[in-house]
Amino acid sequence: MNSPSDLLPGTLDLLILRTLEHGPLHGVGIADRIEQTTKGVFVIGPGSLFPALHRLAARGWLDGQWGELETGRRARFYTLTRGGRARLTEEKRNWKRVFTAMNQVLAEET
Amino acid sequence: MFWRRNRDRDRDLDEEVQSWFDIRVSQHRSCGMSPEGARREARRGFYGPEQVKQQVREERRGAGLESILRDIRYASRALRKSPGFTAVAVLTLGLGMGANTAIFSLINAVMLRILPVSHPEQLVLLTDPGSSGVDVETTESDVRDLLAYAEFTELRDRTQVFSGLFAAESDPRPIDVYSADQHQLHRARLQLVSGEFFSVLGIGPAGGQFFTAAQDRVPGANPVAVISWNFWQRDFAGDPAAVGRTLRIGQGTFQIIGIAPENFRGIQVGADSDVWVPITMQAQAIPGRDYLTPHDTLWLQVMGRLKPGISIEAAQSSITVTMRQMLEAWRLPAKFLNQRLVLHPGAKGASDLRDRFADPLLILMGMVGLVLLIACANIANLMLARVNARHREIEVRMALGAARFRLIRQIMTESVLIACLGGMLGTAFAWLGTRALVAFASASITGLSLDMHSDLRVFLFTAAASLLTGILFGFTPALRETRGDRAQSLAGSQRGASTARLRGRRVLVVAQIALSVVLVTGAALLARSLRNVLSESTGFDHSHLLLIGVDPVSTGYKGAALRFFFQNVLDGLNRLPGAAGATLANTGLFGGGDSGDEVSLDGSPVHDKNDLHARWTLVGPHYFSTLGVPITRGRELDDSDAARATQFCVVNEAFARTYYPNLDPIGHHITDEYPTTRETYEIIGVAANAKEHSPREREVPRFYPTMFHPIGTVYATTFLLRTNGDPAAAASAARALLRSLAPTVNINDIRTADEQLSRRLVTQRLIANLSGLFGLLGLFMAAIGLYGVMSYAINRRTAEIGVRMALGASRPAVMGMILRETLWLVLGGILIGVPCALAAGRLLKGMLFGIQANDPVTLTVTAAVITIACCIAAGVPARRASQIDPMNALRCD
Repeated sequence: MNSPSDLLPGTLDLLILRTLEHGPLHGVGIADRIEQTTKGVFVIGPGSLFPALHRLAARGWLDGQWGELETGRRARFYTLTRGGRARLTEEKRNWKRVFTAMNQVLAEET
Repeated sequence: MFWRRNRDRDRDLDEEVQSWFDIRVSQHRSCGMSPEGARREARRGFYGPEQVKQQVREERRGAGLESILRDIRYASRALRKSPGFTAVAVLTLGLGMGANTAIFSLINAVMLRILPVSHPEQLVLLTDPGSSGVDVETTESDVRDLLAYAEFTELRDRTQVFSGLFAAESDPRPIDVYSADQHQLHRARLQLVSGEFFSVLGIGPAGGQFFTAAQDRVPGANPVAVISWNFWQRDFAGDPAAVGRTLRIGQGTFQIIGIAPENFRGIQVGADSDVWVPITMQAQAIPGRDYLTPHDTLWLQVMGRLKPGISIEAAQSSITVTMRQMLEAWRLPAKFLNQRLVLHPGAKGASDLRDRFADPLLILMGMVGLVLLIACANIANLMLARVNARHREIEVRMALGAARFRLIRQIMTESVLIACLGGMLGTAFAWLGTRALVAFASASITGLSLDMHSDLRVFLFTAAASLLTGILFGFTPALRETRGDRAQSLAGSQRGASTARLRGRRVLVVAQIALSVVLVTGAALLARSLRNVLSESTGFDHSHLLLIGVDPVSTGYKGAALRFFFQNVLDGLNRLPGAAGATLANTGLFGGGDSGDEVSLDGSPVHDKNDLHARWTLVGPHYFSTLGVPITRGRELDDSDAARATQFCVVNEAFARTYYPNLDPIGHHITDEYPTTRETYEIIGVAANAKEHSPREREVPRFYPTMFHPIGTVYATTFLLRTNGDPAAAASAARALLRSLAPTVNINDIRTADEQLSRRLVTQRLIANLSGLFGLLGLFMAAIGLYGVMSYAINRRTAEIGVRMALGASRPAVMGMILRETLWLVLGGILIGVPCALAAGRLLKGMLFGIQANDPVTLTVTAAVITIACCIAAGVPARRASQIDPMNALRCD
């Protein structure tokens, strides 16, 4: 999955927020982590990731700080803010509702 | 600051994207890829750093200027791509904005402009000649509009609340002025002002110096003049040596000592002054009559500057007391002690123009506002159609997660851009329009000169109106189109959505028709009112009368010489070819001035002093037969009365009815009780009521004493000549006659009575013509709106109509169906519009003559006109619908 338009709207935000719940990560780290945990179902390119990161940062849910990698390279690390955590809880709840609803529909069909 | 932040963010983003790329390369390298391969791999799925940055910027909503600029670029590209839509929208709006800006410019020039003097807010008008017109020397009202010179000096010396007071001639007229050294004639508007004029206003000279209070104490001692910047530029070509030159004004030679600043055009709106001279030079500048000594020559408007910390209310109570003390000290009869002054803020100067045009201008402003609303509805309609065409694009963008806010902003940018273009075009239209309006008004108002240059206020008005209209007509389509039920649009309920849109457009059309009903009703009422005024019987035939205004007294005629002059001119006029009678009067016909006084009567049952009041007009021999006013009893004044200067008068029927009900007034006596000019006349005849001042005049008791034994001194004289043919043709002969009989006498103006009447009705004509124009414009726009909607509806229903026709519907039946739909819309519009028109009609009440605001005939005719216009507008698409080929239509679908 490369195009964000194939995702349900808002899904990418949830993925990013959830990924940062464990601690700060830079862009590549976030993309790799998502790819790993979804076993390659979601591959996020920079074209979708950066706009999403900046949007979330602009809403105050993420905080971006420059830091150094162990290799000495500079990268921007994103941290979940307090508001971001609240948002994540909310998004999780929403997702579960949708998920349950969808499952019910699918279960009925079989 | 703003830009810096943006630049920093961009640099940050650059670095971040670069860092992503570097990390990816090193990841691939550590997996054992070649540097080349690692870079290629890292670049995969990376459309390029620029695109990424672009997308990030898109996300930063509200990031300000940069994205707004991009929106504007985007919008202007979109507009360029559809020149037809853009042209119609901009033109429509340009017309609407042009009308609004033009009327607002007039309002600004007449009602809002502040005098360019220091601290104008401290200025106060002690008299407001505007409210009564000028030169009405009646004492009917207790509130004084003008003051005598003696009253002014008294107030000036006694007042405690003003830091300064000045007086100025209230009705300065253009006169001939000669530059003494070059014998060159100038036409200039002279204003006599007291020495405090310039210092109280707080302005400084642009050249030379101003005269002071000290130079205005001794009558005849200071022959100095200050000229206006415009006069200096126009008649002296801006020559600095103009200061020091002399001007011959009246019978005096005045030295120019100063030039007023460029932006100062005098204290009267619409009547710029060219030359100011000290008031104590009156005998030299306007000779022939003493304005300074008599207490009853009311000719000055007085303004003052409040002392710091004194409110206008405090000044009012103080000046009331001072005025009362002054009148008591003069031992005037008790009746006159009630006279008082009412203070008004003076920051905007004085103007009778304001009083005459304020209501018409406000009504016109309301009308052009309606026109603009109709234009807005039209453009909103176009925008709906346009946004509709971009429906797919917008849906896709929303599905891609574009913020609704961004889309709304983009549509709004487009409409605001159209509005700005319309505003610019409107400014150009307004420039032409205001000049045409001022030209129209100047043709009827002597010496009208309005400062029409566009100032910040006009600019702000146009800008605000443009922005507001842009938002107004862009917002509905934007909201409607982006109303985000994304699931629904994915489900593809195209048809339902467009039905809703059509309903929206129909609502707009109904609103337009309703607004047109209001506009056209107003225009029709005003037009019929003007026609009523014009066709109102004045009681005499004014189509073959020539009016010749002269001023013999200021050139020295008095007593027997004056009577001899009158008789000579009358004889000369009677001998002119085509003459059918001549007479004279102090006021001409349909002029502004009138006189009225308290009277006492013998043999009348009316005794209450408060009821004994009458207007008077001084007339010469054969006045009534020349005008064609029938004498119902007794006789009129004739040549022998003139020769013997008998103290006879004629009264009108209103006078006879009021004061001598069921009695014969002939032989009784009228005494005019004005204290300084008490005169008694014997009634010798009764004339039918005549409306000599205005067709709208009420019938009031009036008596007509003889010009040959007048009340007071007669200054203005008008000869009236009845001609067999066109009266205008006799004008040059009459002028030549006066020149040969009395070369020195000032001829004020020679006009036909009809011309004078049309000047008198300038406000009515102005408002009737303009409202007619605006009504037409509004109706036209509404018709275009209807046309657009019906065309759209028919396009959508091509298949349906095709089916109907295939099933046997005839062409007339199809046309009938479309027209029926139109009529429903029109009916809706009229049903909403008529109550609005009735409500709005109440605002017109004061403007209407001989017609009620809720006149059923007018409303019916208006409704019929609008219905017909709409049927014509809908007829074109209806015809097209009836010509649909069923086979084609069905194949299309």
